[in-house]
Amino acid sequence: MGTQISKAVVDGILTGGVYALMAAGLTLIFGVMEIINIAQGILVVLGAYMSYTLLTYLHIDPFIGLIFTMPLMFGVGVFIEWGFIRRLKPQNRTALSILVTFAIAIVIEGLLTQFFSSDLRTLDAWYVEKSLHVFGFYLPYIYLLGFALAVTLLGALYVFLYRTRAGQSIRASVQNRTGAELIGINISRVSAMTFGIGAAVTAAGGMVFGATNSFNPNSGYDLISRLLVIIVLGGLGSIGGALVAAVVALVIEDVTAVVWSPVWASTMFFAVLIVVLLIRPNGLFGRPEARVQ
Amino acid sequence: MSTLLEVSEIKKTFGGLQALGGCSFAVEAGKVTGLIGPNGSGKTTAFNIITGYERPDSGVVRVSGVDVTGASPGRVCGLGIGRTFQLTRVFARLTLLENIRVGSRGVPRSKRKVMYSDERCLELLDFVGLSRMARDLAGSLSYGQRKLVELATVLAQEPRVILLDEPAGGINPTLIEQMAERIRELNKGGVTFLVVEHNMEFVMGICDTVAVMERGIVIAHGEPGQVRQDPRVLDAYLGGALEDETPAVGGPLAGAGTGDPGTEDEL
Amino acid sequence: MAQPVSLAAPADRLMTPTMRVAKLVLLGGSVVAAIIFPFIFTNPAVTSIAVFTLLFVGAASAWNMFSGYTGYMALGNAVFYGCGAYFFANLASHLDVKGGVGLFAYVPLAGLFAGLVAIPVGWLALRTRRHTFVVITIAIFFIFQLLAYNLTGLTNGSSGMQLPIPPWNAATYNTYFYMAALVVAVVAIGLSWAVKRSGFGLELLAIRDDEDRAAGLGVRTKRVKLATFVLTGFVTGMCGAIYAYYLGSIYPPFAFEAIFDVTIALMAFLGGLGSVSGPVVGALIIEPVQQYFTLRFTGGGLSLILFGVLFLAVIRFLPDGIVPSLGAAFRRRLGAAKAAVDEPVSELDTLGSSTSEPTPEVNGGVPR
Repeated sequence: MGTQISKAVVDGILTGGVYALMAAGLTLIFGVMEIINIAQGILVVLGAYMSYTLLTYLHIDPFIGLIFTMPLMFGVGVFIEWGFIRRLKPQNRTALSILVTFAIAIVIEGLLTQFFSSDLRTLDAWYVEKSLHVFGFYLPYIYLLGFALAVTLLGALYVFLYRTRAGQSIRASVQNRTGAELIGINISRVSAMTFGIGAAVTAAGGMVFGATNSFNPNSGYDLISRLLVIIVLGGLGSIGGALVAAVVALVIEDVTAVVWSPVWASTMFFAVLIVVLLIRPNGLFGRPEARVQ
Repeated sequence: MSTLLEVSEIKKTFGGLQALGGCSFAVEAGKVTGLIGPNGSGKTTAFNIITGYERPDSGVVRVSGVDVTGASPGRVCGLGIGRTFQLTRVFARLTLLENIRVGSRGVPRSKRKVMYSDERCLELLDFVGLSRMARDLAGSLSYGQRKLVELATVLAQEPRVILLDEPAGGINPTLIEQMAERIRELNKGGVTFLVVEHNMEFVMGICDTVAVMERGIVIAHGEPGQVRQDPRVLDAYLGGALEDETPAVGGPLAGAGTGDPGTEDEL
Repeated sequence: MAQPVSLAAPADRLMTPTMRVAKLVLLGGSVVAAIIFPFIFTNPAVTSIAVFTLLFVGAASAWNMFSGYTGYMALGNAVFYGCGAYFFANLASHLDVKGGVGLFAYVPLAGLFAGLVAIPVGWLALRTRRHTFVVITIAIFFIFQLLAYNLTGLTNGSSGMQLPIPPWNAATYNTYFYMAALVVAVVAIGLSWAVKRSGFGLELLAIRDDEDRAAGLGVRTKRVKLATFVLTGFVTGMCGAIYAYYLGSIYPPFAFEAIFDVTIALMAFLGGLGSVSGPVVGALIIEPVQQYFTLRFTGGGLSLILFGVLFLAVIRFLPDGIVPSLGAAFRRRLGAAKAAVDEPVSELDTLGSSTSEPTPEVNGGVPR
């Protein structure tokens, strides 16, 4: 049992890292733009399909394929922001953004169903089946590589946010949108960039997701529900919070599967959110929403 | 000469910034007390703490001797303390009558019919000169008119003391004079006022006493004439941040301050 | 000194007595038309769509009663729909009731159950402010969906539950359900209207505009929000019960369906958030369309694409919804003298508006 639990914890950390990457994008979008991108889940699925297409028809290795899919997804993100989000009037942006992005998600789901049908797919690369034998259990390579990828990208994100001017403008906008505008930051460009980044990370997350799960266009719902839980759990707008929340929630889920039953594992994932919110209504690292005056 | 509202050694820090560092003053029943000071001196924070929108880190707020520190805004309202906001707040999508009636929900049902009868509501709107627009949406009004609606809504609850946060801010001189008139009229009828204002002429014109704040504490308290000459006060205004308290020529606190024209349009 | 002020509503002031009568006749006429509808259009395909439409009229009105009036966007109402459905199914099987008209009597019980569920759900979700609130309702929805799959003792999991089949013949089958759905729809609309006119409704609308200030004026915001949330649960639960009964069987993904949440929001949006007739209009338009899409474009993603595009178009071009826009146009035509005051000055608030009259609805004022 002990090794099983350890394995569950390790699994949780490894998958948590990947979810953390996708959630980071989502929470960053909220932090900068105060909107909740419900389409994030289906974008992950889209990323999976992109990698799948490159692999199946062009025989490009999924990791290599990221060189194409990530910029492509960045473009998709920018397009969505420019085409739909930017037009939203300031009143009740958040509520409207939920409906708008939900609609976009439905459209993307429909498009994917048209092109790929509802058949389940998965990414088959050489390393997907193989595992590393360590400490008495088997760790699939893909988990390790996926985790490494997530960590690398999160590191790159950190460097971008804290060491570049563009990143600085994003951080300024998170802290104080109006203030940022007043000192000359182009909010439209920052928003587009942020949305693009938020989408680009789903390309990577989608690839790993596609390699570790079988997916079809309907997989978006489960994904977005988890990502939403993670960002709320971590505190809306907090990337660090998203990281911690992702790992914690996934570890708990995986351990539950071992200790109690796999049937209840997913439910526990959501239950963690409820429990935390009872104690900290704003999530682990969230800030209370600003009062007017 | 009883103290209706008393604030004692209130401290409040936001993040790294100390907004109030031991603020104390008293408001006498039946008087109009002014609360002035440079921007950032903590006036609105004091208001927020008195009316329950913020909790103090330490210190006491007393109403008629009763400790009400940390009471919720709803409870404070129930104690007879009304308040307006620096950035005027009305329920934009409700009519003026409905705006006033929102206040009826905090009142026991038996009193509601009397206090909020059609006649009385119209009377209140008439008092602020807006009875013609009783059935119009508050959001369609000009800023100055909304200020009056906000006042009427507060009045409807028959508060003992009204805290006004910049009643003269962002409106034209005619309306400012009307506002002053109404405050005087209500005061004659027994309502106590605590007024935060930057417009010095306004303050000097209606206040019986004035408390001056600087950097989170009260540095002077007395009659307008006295306070105007107090060296500590002069120092606070001249030595501190000079934004819209630019003194007119002829004496630091003589003449009109310009309120906050930059933040709101006046229509 | 006070000028005599007419206390009639702005639109009413402009309406002649003839028009007021016309409005009542229209209302009465709609009710009569609704009642005789299934007897005129007897094609089962048509009446089937009608049943679903009425259920959505009820569910959308219920959603609007909370989310439209308070501005808190709840995207988890499917929880109540599903709870109502499963409770009803359980009741029917445990009490061993035969299918028939009598079984409809249990629908309000299912509603009560859903209302009870709404108490802890609402309490939890309403502890948070608007942004987080939406996400919590979504998360709670997924929890319930998972519970439906996992609590096999209560729900039979993926195998689903069967409901008693009523002994009616094919010609009249739909009519019974139509009538039941009509009753629930009328209850929903009635409640919606009653709430809006009452002081209770005033509190909700005040919360929508400025919750903190409402609290500062003495409104018991927590209580009011929770009470309305429970009402929503009650009505939605009843819709779910009839849905289950009509389908004859029920499974987790249909009882707890993510698209349901979005659909009722869209309907309220299209018709006009915050107005009583808005969700009705929205449901009357969208549900038949949705049914048509599903029948015509089965299997492929086309129905999804069209639905999503429709959704986006509505948000883009009719952000205030049909009813408020019509209401504004109506008032503009009638009120030449008052046009300067009534006409919205600039960008309109996208969540619609309200007055105390049920119809016509007035457009929002200048946003702050």
